[in-house]
Amino acid sequence: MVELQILSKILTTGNYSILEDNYITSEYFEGTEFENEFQFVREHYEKYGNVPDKATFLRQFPEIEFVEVTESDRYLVDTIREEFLFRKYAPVLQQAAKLAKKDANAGVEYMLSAMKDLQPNYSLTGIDLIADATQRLEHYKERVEHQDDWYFSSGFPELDNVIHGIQRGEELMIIYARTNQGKSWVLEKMITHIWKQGFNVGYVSPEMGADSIGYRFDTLYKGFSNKDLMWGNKDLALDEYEKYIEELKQQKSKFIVATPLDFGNKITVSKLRNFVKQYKLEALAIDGITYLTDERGRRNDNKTTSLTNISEDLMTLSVELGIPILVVVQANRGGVVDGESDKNPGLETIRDSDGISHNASKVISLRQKDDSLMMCVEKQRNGKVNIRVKYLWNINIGEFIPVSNDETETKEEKAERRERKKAKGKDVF
Amino acid sequence: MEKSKNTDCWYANSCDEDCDKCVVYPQMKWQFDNSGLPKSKYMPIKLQPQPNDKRAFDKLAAIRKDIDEFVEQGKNLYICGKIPGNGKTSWAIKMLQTYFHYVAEGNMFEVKGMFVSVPDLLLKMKDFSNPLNNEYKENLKSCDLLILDDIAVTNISQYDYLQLFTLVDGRMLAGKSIIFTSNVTEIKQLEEIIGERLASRVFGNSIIVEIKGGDMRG
Repeated sequence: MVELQILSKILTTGNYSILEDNYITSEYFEGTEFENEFQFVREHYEKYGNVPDKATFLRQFPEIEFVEVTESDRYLVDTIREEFLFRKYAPVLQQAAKLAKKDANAGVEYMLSAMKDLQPNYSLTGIDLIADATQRLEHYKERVEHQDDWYFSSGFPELDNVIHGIQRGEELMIIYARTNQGKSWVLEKMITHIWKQGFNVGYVSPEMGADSIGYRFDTLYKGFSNKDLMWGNKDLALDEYEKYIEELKQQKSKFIVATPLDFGNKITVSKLRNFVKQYKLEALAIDGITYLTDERGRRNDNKTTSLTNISEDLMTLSVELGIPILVVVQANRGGVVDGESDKNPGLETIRDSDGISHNASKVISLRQKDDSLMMCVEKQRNGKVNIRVKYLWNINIGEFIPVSNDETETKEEKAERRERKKAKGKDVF
Repeated sequence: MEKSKNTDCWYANSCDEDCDKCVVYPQMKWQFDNSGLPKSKYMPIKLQPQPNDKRAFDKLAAIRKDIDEFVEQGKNLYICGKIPGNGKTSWAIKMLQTYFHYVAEGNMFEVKGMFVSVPDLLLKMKDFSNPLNNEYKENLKSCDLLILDDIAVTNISQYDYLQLFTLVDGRMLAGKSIIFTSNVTEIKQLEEIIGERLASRVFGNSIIVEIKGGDMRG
C-alpha cells in the first residue's frame, strides 16, 4: 500500500525527489503489486527528465486508482524501507530454518552470511548548522518581530521574567511539589492563561471531573468564588454567573478536558497525540504523569524506567507537534521529612524518577503555606536557576498577588526599600 | 467605594491604602506567626526608662534603629538586669518587631527571626514523645535573628548544655545574630549556671546592656 501512496504522491506533485533523495530504487518495488507502474515512471523520468503527468500514466495503467496522501515524506520512506527489509529478511529466515533442521551450524553460517545485506535502513535527518545558517537568522528575526508566535505568557508575569514564558514547541515543563501544595491550580492557571491568549488548549485530568476543572476555570478566569461554585452556595450572584456563561460560549478557542475514561482508561503518548491533533490543540496540560502508561514498557520495567520513557516521549511529542506540554509531578516524602519553611523540594525529590527532570526543558517547584505560594525555577535551559517568585494566593477567587522578591532586587532597590521602611511606621516601631 | 481598613495592622494609623489590596500586612503577619512570639506581643509597646536606665535605653534605642545592620553584621546583644520585669524581654521583642518591620517584605517563606524562652525550649528538647519538628529546629539555626529569653534562669544539665551550646556556637560561627536576656549580670555567676565555655561565648561575643530599674509590670 505504501508503494501506491508514494506513486500517488509523485504523480500528483510531479516531484521525484522523495525517491532520489532517499535512494529508493526499483529494487524496493520488485515483487510488489506496483512493480510495473514504478518501472514506467522511472524510465519516463530518466528519459524525459520529468515525472509523467496523470493522463500519460493512466493511458498506460487505466485501472489504477490514486489515493490522497497526507503522510510526511519521512513516514513514507521509513515504511517502504521497513517493508523492503521484511521481504528480504523473511526468505533468509525460512532458508536458515530449513538448513538448521539438518545441520544447525549450516543454518547459522547461512544466516550470518546473509545478514550483511540485511542492515536496517532508517531515514536520518539533520540540520547542517553551516549550510543552513540562514534559517537560524530568519528564526531569530521572527522571534524579535513576533515574540507571541514563539512564547506563551504563563499567567505569572514575575515567573515569565525569569523563564521568558512558555516556549511554543520543544517545551516539556514540569511542575512539582508535595501533596496539597497547589500543583493542579497552578497548572490550570497557566493553561487557562494560554487559552485567554486565544489558543486551543487541552487539560488531561486523571483525578477531577470536567465540572471541577470547569469551576476552577471560572474562578481563575473571572474570579467567581470557587467555594460557592463547588459547594452550591446561594451567595453566588446567579445572574452574573449566567451572563458570564453566555458570554463564554461566544469564545472561539477551545478548552478541552479529558479524563482517563476518554482514553479508554489507558492514557498513552500516542493517544495524547491523537487528542492534540483531533482538537487542534496548541498547548497541553497533564495533571499527573504517573497516570500515563509507558508504550515502550517491557514486562519487567520498573516505575523509574517507565516514567523516564514517558517523559522522553512527551518531550518528543512536544517537538513533533510544536506545542508546549505542561505536566504535574509529585515530590516524594523525602521532601516532607527534610522540609524547611524557606525551601522548596529539590529536584532529587521528584517521585520515582530522575529521568523526568532530565527530559524536561523547565522544572518549577512549588511550596504553599498560609495563603502564600512560592515557585522556584529548578531547571531551565537558557537562564538562571534557583530563582524564587512569591505570591499571596487567594484560592477562593483564584487571585495571585506578587510580593516583592529580594532575590531579584538590585542592591540599590534593596537600599531604597530599607530607607522607605525606616521612614514609615515611626509611630509604632 | 470605601476603602477597607484592617485595625490589626501595624501601619493602620499611617497608611491610606485599601487593606483589601495590601501585600505588606500578610507578609508582616507571616513573619510574626512563624516567629514563636505570642499574639499579645505582636504590637510594639512604649517603654519609659527609669532615671537610672536612661543611658541603657538610649543605647538599646540606637541598636534598634539600625537593627537590620546589626543583624547583617552578625552582632549579638546581651540584655541583663537583676530585677525581674524591668523591660529586658520587652526590649528584645521590640528589636525583633522592628527587624520584621524592615525585612518582612519580599521574605515570605523565610523565617527571619524567632523568639524562644530558653527554659521552655530545653524542656521541649527533652520531650521525646513529642519531638520538635525538623523545620522548627532548622529555623532556630538559620533565622537571621534569634531571641533567647531567660538564658540563665536555672542550672542546666549536661544534655541541656550540649543542646544550648550547639545552637549558640553554631549560630555564632555562621554569623547569625542572637539577643539574650538574663537576670545574671556577672560572668562568674553566668559560668556557674550555664558553664564556662558557653558563658564565655555569650559574654565575650555580645554587646552587654544592663537595665537597673525596678519592675515595670506592676
